Amino acid sequence: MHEINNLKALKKNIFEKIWEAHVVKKLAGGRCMIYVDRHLLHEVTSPQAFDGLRARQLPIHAAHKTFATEDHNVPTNFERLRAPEQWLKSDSSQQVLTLRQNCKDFGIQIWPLQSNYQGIVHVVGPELGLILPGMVTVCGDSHTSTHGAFGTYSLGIGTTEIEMVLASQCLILEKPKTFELRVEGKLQPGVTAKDVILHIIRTIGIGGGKGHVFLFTGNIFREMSMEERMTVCNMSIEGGARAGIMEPDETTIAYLKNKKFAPEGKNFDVAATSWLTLKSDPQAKVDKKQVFKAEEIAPTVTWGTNPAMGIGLDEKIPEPAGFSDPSEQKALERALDYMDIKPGQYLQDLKLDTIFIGSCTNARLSDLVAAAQILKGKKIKKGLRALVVPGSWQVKMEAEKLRLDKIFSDAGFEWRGAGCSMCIAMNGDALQAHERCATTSNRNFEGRQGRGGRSHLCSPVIASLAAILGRFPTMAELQSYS
Amino acid sequence: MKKIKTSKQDRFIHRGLVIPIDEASVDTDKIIPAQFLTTVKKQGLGQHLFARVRKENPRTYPLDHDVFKEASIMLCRPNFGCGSSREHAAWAIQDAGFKVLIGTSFLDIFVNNCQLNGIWILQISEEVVNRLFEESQRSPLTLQINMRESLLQLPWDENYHFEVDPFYRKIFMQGLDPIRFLGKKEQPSIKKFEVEHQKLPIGVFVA
Repeated sequence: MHEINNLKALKKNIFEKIWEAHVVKKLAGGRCMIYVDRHLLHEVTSPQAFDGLRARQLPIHAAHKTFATEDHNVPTNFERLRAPEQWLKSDSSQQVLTLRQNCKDFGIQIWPLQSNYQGIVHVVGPELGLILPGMVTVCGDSHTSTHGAFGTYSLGIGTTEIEMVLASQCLILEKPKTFELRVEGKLQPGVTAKDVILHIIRTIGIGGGKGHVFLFTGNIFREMSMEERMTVCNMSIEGGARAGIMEPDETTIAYLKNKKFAPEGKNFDVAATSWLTLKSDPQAKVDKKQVFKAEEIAPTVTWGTNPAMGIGLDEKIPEPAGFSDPSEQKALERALDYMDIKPGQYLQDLKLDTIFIGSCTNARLSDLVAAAQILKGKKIKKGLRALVVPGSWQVKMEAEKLRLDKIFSDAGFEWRGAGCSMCIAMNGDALQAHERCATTSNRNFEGRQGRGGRSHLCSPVIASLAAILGRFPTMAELQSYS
Repeated sequence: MKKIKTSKQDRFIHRGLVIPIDEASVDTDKIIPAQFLTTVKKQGLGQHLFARVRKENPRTYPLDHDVFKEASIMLCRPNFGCGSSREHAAWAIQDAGFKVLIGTSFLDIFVNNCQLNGIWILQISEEVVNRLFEESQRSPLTLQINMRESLLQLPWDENYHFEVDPFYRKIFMQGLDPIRFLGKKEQPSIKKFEVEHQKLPIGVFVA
């Protein structure tokens, strides 16, 4: 009997395994109460949730599973950091102060500005070992999908849902479908994790993953480091999927060993052994599947106003008339107009004004190392503004140990403190109207980086070369650096 | 702030003027730009709804047109509400006086955020949406929605039966508070789950 049950059980994919292990109760209408293991908070989406908790007179359910940091609003320039009292009196600091008070009132661990572990919440969580395989992780930010790189179900939630989790450690969720994205083969020189996910989104569209969780499979992802896997999973939401998952393996285990909040000693070994069982069964089914040949992935840059409007370095800006769907044509025409680009132009024809290396997509140590390798001994193009914003204070300190800060500042980059910065432009780091930016962030919507700003998403490697050239590199230029 | 005209006798029926937002893939950065996310309240965001695009594209976003001043229903193209998970988008829409969004497809997080705030989301066929856009170009539309019957009265003398997520339907129809449900009523089931899982060593995953 036991054997028959086992055979029946051998048909689940990794998402189904995590989901089923977290069902507290099934509710009418097909929804489930799903238990949340890890709740991350930042200052922008949480204030109203805490107020709601107070108004309903509910206690926090599990403060010890909740961790907070400050990222969206915080300044990244040193002068202000040396005189924090001045900034703390301004309007923009209100949310930060509110979060600090809420954490104090409810007994939640917070890493505020000027502490050693402050930074972008999706950089801080993993580097502290807060995210372990098999967990359900949530945060009031759609790039929570980043943590799926560890073999977790990690999703962004709204403020009301934050309040639900604070009150109960649970969410009431509809079970999503699964969409396997398999990438096999060998990447071309100069093609990075960022290019892989931009290529996928370009292919499936920004609504491609709606209602699904991505399962990233294939040798390309197995060969990636944890930081590269995070870059890929980070942008799941840009493909319409609320979450993206990769199977944990030896790379995951090596990353998590000795991290501050990971299990220790023998406990770590026991946990690690269990993580290796967290895989899709051989006979497991998925709802949708698409296979990509790694060789066909070009170094990709977005030209338009959503993350799917990407092209390879050597491709021309597309012609709207070439698309049969009239609403798609209209969208492309609007994008061309906003970005001040003509069909048939090359990326290399565009004059850049700003370079931004940062964000939860590409501001980890390996991203800064890759950029510094290109910038070493070089200078940025005259007239360009360039900033590099490390993903966390830890990343910043590690980079400084390797003297990357000197490479960046010698080249002409501003070396800043940690935070979301110019990705969302809430803290004063912003583009001026009509400025064109090569950015390692994840969204190029109209005005995202500043009203009227023109954002081109790309990898840190391309952004660094663009900083030197004042324009995007050609394929040949990229490959000669690789 | 506009008044939302819901029948005083019946909160399950809404009749209102429709504003067409004729653009696909409207992201939440357009709905409420990040500069307005610095608030610690839910109220007051209505004036900033579509803040940038309504000035720059008044034809596509005619919120400032006199004709649409009392609109309480938004007609949307596919993939509305994509991008960031900010619930501020739902609060801005609600604060601006909107009760119902009708379209072909909306991003999941956005649907959740809206429905948890009592905004009705009707995901209906592309054919009907396209026709409604055409009709609205001829003259401003008024539509009536009956949530109890799940019926949308179309202007060409037809009733459209729409699907509603059973969870949100239940919350709305019975006036339930999911936060209190989880925070009070379901505490025993949650604590039972936790006790079971505490038996495992830390960090261990068992399928």
